[in-house]
Amino acid sequence: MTYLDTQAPIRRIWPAVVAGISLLLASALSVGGLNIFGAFAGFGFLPLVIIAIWPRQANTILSLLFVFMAGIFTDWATAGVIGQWALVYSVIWGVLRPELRSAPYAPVSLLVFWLAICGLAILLLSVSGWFVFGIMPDLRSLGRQMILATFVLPLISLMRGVISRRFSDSEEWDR
Amino acid sequence: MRHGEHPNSGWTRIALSLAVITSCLLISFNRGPMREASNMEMATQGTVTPLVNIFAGPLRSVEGFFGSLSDRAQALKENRRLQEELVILRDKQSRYENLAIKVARYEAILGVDTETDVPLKKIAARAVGEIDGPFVRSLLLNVGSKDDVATGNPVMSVEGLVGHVINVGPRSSRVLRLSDLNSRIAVASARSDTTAILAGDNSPDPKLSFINQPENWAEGDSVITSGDDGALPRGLAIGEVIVDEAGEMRVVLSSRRAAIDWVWVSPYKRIAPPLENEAEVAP
Repeated sequence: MTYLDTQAPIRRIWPAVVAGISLLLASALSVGGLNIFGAFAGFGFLPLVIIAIWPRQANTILSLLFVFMAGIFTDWATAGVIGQWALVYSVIWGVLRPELRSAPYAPVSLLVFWLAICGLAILLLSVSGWFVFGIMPDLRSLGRQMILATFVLPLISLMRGVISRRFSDSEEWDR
Repeated sequence: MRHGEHPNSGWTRIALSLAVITSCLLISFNRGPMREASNMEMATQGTVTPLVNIFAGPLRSVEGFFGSLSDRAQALKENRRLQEELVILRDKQSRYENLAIKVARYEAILGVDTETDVPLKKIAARAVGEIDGPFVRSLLLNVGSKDDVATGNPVMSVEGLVGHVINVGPRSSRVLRLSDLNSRIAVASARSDTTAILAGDNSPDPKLSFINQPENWAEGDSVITSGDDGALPRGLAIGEVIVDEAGEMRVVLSSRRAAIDWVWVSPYKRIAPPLENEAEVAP
């Protein structure tokens, strides 16, 4: 019997809903970007930040449904290859499998996991894009998106902690 | 890091496999020529536009803050350059005014119309979303069919042509940028008037292909739309020719000089080809 097994299924729905809505919002924002120091960096990797810090106690099937739908939503919103971001989000969520983690990430391990996520996302985007268009992606553009999301990661992680502490009645708040 | 198996693990694995297989199937349907936007895509675009519009204001403020920092650092150097340019432009302006008077006289004598076919009406729009994805270069505008925007309309910034409208919703539209993989525009050298096709390849500087009379193209030539295909009006500024390391001619887009925020859509009507039996119908 693990900690997560002691949670009633209904209690696992709300974290999935909150994380899912955050992911959809991040997906909508991923059509934008920032022009800083003469270069444009898109918010394309912002939804990956939400997936990286997905709550451990969230209902898995509902989580996966949100992750897949957010991927399709991103593909529609960005007029990209339909299924490309859905594949990236689903595979990354599947690799991380938040519900199987026994403890929250330490800051250093979160950063290491984040870099691995970015590497995997770039690999999946390259392979799927090459399959459809026959060319490799603009790696500089992906790199800029990754850097921007890396700067946002601690901020969103902090916000997640605050929300989790505010709304959780458990002593073990940082889940 | 991982501990005992989750009670739901079997179902999760099945659902995950289904999600991955469905995604792969959807990706495989995208192969081939560029497809038309579906209703779902248009609806999503329409939903996302107002949301991104809310965030566009604060984001532009952040860009403005960083932009003003770098502008201040270069202000003195820029001021000197502008003063030198002003002297040259004053001379050019007086020449231009004289020529304009001359051309007007010739027009009156010959009874010809030398007006450009770029419509005078312009629809101001805000680029609320700029997609710089791995394979997509597009803009999301906050104007649509209710503002008289139509598919194929050219989109300009103060610097030059940005692209053309490919999808139109009631209150939003999507612009295919010149650097996008699917963009093909008929262009001409302003100096030699020889033509080529500007083909986007997802790099910042699209390449010139199908060059007519390559010997008449040179580095530094100004590139404008040729209007040859009837899809875009003639004379819209695009950029300047450069030769890359591989010896290929590419165009540095004028629209890349500054961040794209406000743009205008030109409600240009594409020249329609004549109907097959039009000659027979006409008296």
